[in-house]
Amino acid sequence: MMDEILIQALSGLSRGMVLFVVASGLTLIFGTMRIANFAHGSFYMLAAFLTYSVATMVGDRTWGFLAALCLAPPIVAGVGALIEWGLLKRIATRPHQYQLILTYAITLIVADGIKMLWGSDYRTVARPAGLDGAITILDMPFPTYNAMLILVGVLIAVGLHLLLTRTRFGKTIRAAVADGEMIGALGVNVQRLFTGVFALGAGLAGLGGVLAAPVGSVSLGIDSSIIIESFAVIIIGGVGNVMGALIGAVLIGVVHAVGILFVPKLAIAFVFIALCAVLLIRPQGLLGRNT
Amino acid sequence: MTAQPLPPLQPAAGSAALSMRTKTVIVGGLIIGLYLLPFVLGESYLFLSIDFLIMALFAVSYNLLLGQAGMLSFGHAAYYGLGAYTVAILFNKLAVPVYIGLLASPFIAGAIALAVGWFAVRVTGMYFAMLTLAFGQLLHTVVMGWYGFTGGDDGLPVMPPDWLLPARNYYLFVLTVTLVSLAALRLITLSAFGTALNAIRENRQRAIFVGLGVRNYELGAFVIAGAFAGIAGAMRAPLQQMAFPSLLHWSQSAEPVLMALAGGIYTFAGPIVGAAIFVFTNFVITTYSEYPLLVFGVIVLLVVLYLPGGVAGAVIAAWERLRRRAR
Repeated sequence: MMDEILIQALSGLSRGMVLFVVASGLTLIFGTMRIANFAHGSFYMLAAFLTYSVATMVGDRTWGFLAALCLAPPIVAGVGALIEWGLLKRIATRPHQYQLILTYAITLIVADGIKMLWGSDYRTVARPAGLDGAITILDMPFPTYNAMLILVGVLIAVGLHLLLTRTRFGKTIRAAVADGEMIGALGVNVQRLFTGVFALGAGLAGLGGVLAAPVGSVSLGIDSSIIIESFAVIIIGGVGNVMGALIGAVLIGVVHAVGILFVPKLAIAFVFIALCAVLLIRPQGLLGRNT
Repeated sequence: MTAQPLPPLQPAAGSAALSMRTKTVIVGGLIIGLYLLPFVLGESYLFLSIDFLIMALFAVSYNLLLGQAGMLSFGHAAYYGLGAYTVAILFNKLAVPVYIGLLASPFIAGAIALAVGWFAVRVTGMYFAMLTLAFGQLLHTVVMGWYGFTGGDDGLPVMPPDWLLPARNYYLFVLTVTLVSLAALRLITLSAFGTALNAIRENRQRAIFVGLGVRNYELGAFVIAGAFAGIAGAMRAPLQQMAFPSLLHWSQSAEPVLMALAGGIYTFAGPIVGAAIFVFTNFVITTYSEYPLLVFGVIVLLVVLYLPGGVAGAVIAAWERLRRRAR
């Protein structure tokens, strides 16, 4: 039983890593622009469908997946930049509810747009050669692809950490999270920063979509499940904090996966118990700053 | 750029020009008209009208949060759906007729809203929106997964008694319940409690400083709004003769937000106008388009970008312009 829980926890960890990649984009957007971006799940879903199309077009499953990995996130980042520049910018000074509704309208448009272009069938994406087998952990098989996801998640976390601490763009983002008005006063081009952050966030959602495509199903509706979990992640982790998102995502992934062993249908309830516990003890999130 | 506070209270242009007496006459006339409607309309339009009444109550209950207290909830459908399930579960497990179940619905929906609100009012703004959304989805998942009790994604059948089956009778029943509920909500918005909620919306910090127990007021608003949404949901289940988990889904939660914004959130009647616009637009789109979400999304996008005061706000502004020109 113990081994079973451990393997299940590992598989939760790999799912948590995908969630982290998506939620880190959401938390950066929320932290910098104070927009709860509903369309984030749509970026994720769009990238998953793009992965399917690119992989089908290329034919070879290894090269197809790699091509999707190189193409889909930048395309989705571009879509994100267009949305920020063309739509969100125009209502930046209006109350919250307008931004929320605007991004909600985008989820509707993307969902039906995907249905129009790809139809409403389930799609699957093959795992790249060499990653379709299983490795043995504790005498139990564990999918190689999931092991790779854990590794990739760690790499992305390190990469984002370096981006945020070592580059000018990253430092500006952190400054914007801490005090948005101040950086405008200091002469940062806030408009360009917002477009950049939104594109980066959308790109991360896209990357998550590509990574998840070979393990999950590529179907309509994956947008709303990921967005709810991402919101839970950034509330647990603290807004604008990428390391908080990592902790939150791993927590949710593992708690959910282990919960499935005990109550298959209602495992998500455990996630919310964790969420409530965090809210009671630290309403600003585990690594959030008290404002 | 930090989040902007809500703009100060602006009574809809034109409403100040109406005296109390004119208002009474207009509202009285509308109510009489609504009671006469089933003797004029055909059955399919009558169903559309029932839909409108239910959505109007749903939207007005929601606006107690957004318009009155400035609380941007994005999980209001949970209480609406719970109202529907209260009726359905009481009917299926205990053979309680739907009109008795309807009386229980605000208490069940309100009790769950109390449990969720107790956590949710600890945060404000966008955080509150995300949290209410997350809890709403939790309730949705529980209803989906708890097969033995809720029937899972098959839903639960609801059979109204014979005297409520004809569309005309059910319309009159829904109309009466909706009007009584709206009257109760109107009294709440005008009460000292409602005024305190306004103060919290205008300036939360100042409301705290003058000694209001802001969190308790917000929790109170959340529970009352949830309870009335429960009544709206309780009227929905017998209409469809079914309670579905999708009634609790977050896409359903977007609807009261859309209706309130379309009609205008700073007047009591705004969300009712919004409900009429919403139900009608939805009816037209789902009838004529293969991709209703796409069309609907584009319309919402255009309204948000170009009609900041909502559809009703734009109509009122145009009317004001015309009147000024006429003088």
